[in-house]
Amino acid sequence: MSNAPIVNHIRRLRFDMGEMTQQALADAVGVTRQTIIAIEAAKYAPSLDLAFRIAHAFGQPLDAVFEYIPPTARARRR
Amino acid sequence: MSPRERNAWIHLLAILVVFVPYFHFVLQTFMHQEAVGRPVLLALIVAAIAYTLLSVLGQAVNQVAFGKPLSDERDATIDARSLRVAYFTILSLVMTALGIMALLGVVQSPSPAGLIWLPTFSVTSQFVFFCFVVAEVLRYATQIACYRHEAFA
Repeated sequence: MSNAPIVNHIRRLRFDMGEMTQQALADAVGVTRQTIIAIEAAKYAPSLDLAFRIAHAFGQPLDAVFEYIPPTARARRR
Repeated sequence: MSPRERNAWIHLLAILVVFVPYFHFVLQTFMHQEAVGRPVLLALIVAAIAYTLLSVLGQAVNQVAFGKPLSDERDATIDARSLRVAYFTILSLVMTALGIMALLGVVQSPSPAGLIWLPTFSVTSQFVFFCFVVAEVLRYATQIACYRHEAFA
């Protein structure tokens, strides 16, 4: 289990949106496909601006796309 | 592999292909010849032209084959990180060189205060250029490492 404080649900939301491809999402928010891959894998934390653009692309509020895990909850998950 | 990572590989390989033989030639010239100015200057001109041609050609092929690379915030973050590494590399190498020159000045000077040891202009300029090339190698190597391993928070 990753120790990152922020997890995202981008992959699930892409499939919920009619199996949107990573490239389609990248085009919608103006980044490269590699950046979307890195964000999904929690290897890159997007800027606030990009996070909002991703949420807007899904038509979802920000906290439906990105979830903050407090340190105590992270320790319990491990 | 992203287009930007490919560009970094192109620059890194061009630097290694051109400047490893260049510095080998410069080192041999300094060790075996007394008149080093003209051969080294000619070698530098040839190396600069060769590096420019290789990197421009490589980027042109990259762009034609894979399209113009889009640059986004993650690319900017990786660029900034690699420039930080290059800056600290060149700073460390130059400071180390100054320290060695000061130490050699103290060791070689007859007076207690010592003088800084000053190598010839040719040696100094080649060393500074070497520091710059090493910094560029580390810059592109850092970019490649970041793209390969996503090694940043």
